[in-house]
Amino acid sequence: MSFTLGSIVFLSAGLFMGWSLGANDAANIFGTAVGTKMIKFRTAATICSIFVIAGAVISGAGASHTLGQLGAINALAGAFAVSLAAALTVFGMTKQCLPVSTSQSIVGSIIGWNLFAGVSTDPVILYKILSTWLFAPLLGAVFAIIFYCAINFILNRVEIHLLRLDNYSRIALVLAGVFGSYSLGANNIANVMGVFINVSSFGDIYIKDLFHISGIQQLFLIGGIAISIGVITYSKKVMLTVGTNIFKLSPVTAFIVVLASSTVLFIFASEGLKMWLIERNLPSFPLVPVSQSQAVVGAILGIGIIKGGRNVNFKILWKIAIGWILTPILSLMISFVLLFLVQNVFMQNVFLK
Amino acid sequence: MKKLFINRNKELENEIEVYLLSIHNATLTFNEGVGDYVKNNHKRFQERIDKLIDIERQADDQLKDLKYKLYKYNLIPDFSGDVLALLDSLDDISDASKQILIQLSIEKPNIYDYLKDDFIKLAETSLKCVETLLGGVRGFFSNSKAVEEIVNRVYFYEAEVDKIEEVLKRQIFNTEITIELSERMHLRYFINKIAQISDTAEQIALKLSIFKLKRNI
Repeated sequence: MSFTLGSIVFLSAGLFMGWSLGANDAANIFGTAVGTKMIKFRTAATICSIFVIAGAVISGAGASHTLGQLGAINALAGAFAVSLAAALTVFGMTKQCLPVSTSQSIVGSIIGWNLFAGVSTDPVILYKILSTWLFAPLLGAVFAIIFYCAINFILNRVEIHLLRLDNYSRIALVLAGVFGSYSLGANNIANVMGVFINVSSFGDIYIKDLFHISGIQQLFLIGGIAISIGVITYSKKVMLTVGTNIFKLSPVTAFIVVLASSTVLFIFASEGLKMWLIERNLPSFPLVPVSQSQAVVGAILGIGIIKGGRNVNFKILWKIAIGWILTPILSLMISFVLLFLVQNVFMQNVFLK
Repeated sequence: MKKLFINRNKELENEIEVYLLSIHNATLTFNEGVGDYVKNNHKRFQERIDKLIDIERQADDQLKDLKYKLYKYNLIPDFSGDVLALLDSLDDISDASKQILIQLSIEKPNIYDYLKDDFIKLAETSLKCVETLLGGVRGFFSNSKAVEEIVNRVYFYEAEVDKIEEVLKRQIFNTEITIELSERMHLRYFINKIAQISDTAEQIALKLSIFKLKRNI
């Protein structure tokens, strides 16, 4: 993929996907902190932008590789249609106020491409991905319960002045935000740029022997920048909504939620952690893009459960279940229709035989 | 980023402590003032009034500064409302203390000898009630487990004040000494006023136990 006008147009679908991801998902990391004015939006947006890009470029390859195994899209126009279908599904479902995951929509789109191109979908990879959708909120809840108990144990034994606790909470929220942004970039860049990997023609760049950036990393850098633009341009509104209207979290519980959901994203994205676990003969986690929003909802439910089940809104679980079924089916169908249009109306090759 | 970690909280923590000391000084001065009035130490009584006016003014300034900083730097956003309500209520105690001493100096009620001990006891028990409450407020800030027990002690002292108040009123209205009804009512007015300090402390203690529950994560 050289920088022709055509390639930029094709890549724009991925950039749109990145922009929506940044606009929506940054609120999962900094929503409460910004909504409750613990952290200024400018600080949150700066931290989020920098570490999303870092996570995407440094650790984005693992989850993208799994998506590639699900469907190795081999034509630029096909990647465009798949990416656009996923982005439109996210956009449409968000408009209808339905919970949506970019991870689920991209998977549905890729399967749509597999069907259109007559490529079989690997059931093992598909099962691996589907199981993580169930595990992500569950793990989010488990981590939140563990972190909640640990922090509660400490706070009940150490008499910390309310004002000092406030200061520690701000620092903790910033650090959790750094971790959350890095994990988001590492895990979710696959949703934004994963489908373009096989059709990317970015060459590796070497600056003497000191610096090397691969073609995939360049692609992820562009995707990361698109996410950052989404964070800077549109996430404030979403953050204020999350922080003040939907979840009434205290700064300490907000920290727990961000830490728990970010840990979920991290373990499903980190190749280093996977290798470390394998070397020690421990069970490892598949590297799969997972929904941060669902990990966050899982974490909040976890806290609700440990607090005695009060205020747990089980309707949210229903909504997630509907999202699980609706999102991939919708994006699969849109992907199929778009691929048909791009191939037959715009006369572009959407797959290579 | 550097601004983010400027520790204004430590500064505010010290200022809250200074404010609590001012409230304590105000009630100590009030107690001494009542004692001086009852014992007819007029010169010292006037000094106590002047001192209490000064302390109360300082406490007001400190409270204004605390409010300003809490909002300007958006410190403890989820608790600032509770903290300000708490600190504002404490100001009512110092304000009431000042008003009682000033009114004593203006209206000069005659405290009969047989009432003096109980009058002093009423002020002393009110002081104990407020001192206990201040311990509870400090406990709330430091997340001490003792808050509930302290709140219970505030209730106890408030009940003691009520008992002394009742004894005093019975002594005033059931005495065989010839006292005008207007004078009896005048004395009752001051007894009510002094007893109101512990009533205020009790109300703050109730708020405190609710705020403490809210502090749990």
